[in-house]
Amino acid sequence: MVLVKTKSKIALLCFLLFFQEIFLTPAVGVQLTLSQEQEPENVEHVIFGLNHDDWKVRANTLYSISKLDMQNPLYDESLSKVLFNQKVRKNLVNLLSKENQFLRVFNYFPEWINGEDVGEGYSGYYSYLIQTVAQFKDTTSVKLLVETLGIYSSRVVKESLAEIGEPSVRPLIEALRERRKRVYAASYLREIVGRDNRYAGTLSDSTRQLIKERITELLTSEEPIVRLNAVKVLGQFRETEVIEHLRHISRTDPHFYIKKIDGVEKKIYPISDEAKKQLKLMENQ
Amino acid sequence: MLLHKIYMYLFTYNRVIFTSLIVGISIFGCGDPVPNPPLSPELISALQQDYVDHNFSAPPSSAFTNGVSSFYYDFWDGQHLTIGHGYALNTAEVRFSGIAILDWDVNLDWNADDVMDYYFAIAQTQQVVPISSAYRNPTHNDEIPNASPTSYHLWGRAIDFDGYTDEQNQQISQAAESTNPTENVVHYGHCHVAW
Repeated sequence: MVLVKTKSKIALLCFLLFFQEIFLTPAVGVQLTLSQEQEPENVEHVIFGLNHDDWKVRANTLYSISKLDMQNPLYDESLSKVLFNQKVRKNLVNLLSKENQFLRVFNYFPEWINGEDVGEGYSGYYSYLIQTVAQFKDTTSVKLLVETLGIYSSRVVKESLAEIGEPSVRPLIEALRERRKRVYAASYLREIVGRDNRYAGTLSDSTRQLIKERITELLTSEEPIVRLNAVKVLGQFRETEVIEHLRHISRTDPHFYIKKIDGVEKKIYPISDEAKKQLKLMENQ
Repeated sequence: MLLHKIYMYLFTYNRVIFTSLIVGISIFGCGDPVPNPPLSPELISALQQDYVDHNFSAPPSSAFTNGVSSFYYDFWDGQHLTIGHGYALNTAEVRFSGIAILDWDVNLDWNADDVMDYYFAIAQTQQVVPISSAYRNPTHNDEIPNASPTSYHLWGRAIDFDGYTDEQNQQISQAAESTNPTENVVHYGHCHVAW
């Protein structure tokens, strides 16, 4: 009995010694302290890179911390957690704001920056930045994401804004006023009110009404591409008033083009056809 | 008599030379691009190795395909989208001009069709739009000045429509919006669309 007790005590002692060796030694303590200190160090390093004067340094810093849906040879797994840091996120949003301001001067992607041919590199980096910020699904970045329309558009941004829902609508409605942004803004609004958007139900009635009204106004646009997109958005509303509009468009829209089908030229009315398609989709629902 | 002979010589042989030149230019586009080599296992291996050399995981062999055509893309009753610089250069210095190197779920042929369909419908034109770039293997991508290391061209997911004017590029971009692209941008004198 005494022997058993002694053996148990020895085993317990061994366990405690082992535990101390593994978890409580000064070396481990130092490591723990280091890892706690490492995060701010990386964060500061990343923030420094994101705010660098040279766009290529900013780009490479971004590539090292963000992994989108593609292979990225510059991505550094050890830095991945930095992207969850609020300070870093805030800096990325600020960075998008700065790049937007820079692009606003040109109103398109410049081919030269500081006397250097930037090729596709700068727009590639800008695209990566927008998609990274869009994935935060942060309401405070909505305005910045909408600002990029007319220069850049992306399914990733569109889906994020659709998920954000209500706060995305006003900036997009504003964007409808600008000729260059109109088509893209309509396309984004279509996603927001889309039949397939599981967040569409979160929109208030007044917001849906606002979208419907503004988009209906576009049906009289002189630009066929705008009318086509307006029809696509309205097709998401299964309401009598909208059905009437679509029926009218399907009968009256004058836009056509000639297409050769089996060697025979035929008039095609794409906007009228789209209205018919949307009406049919409504019927089948 | 001598003059007549010279005239006949020039007429006969120059016509042959001239015709050959026209055919050559129309096929090879002044030497750029050249037709695809067949997608042999060796070529696929070389392309896969190119990805590994550039720190990517190599796409599976099944991801590489010659697609519909080598460098002319059939479109609406014999019209063609031409590929200007859509070739790639692999490590073995084999030029590759495939438009339809497929990503796992992206078919550039169909997407190009859709974009042009919308564009022709809206712009009321059937003016052929050249494609200046499609698939690029990593070595070829590196040759582009300041190319993006994460370019969708590397994965056969992007097409550059080389419109003749900024306005035309903008129209193509607006048309492309209906195809729900991952990237849709007018830059560097062309409309870049990725899915």
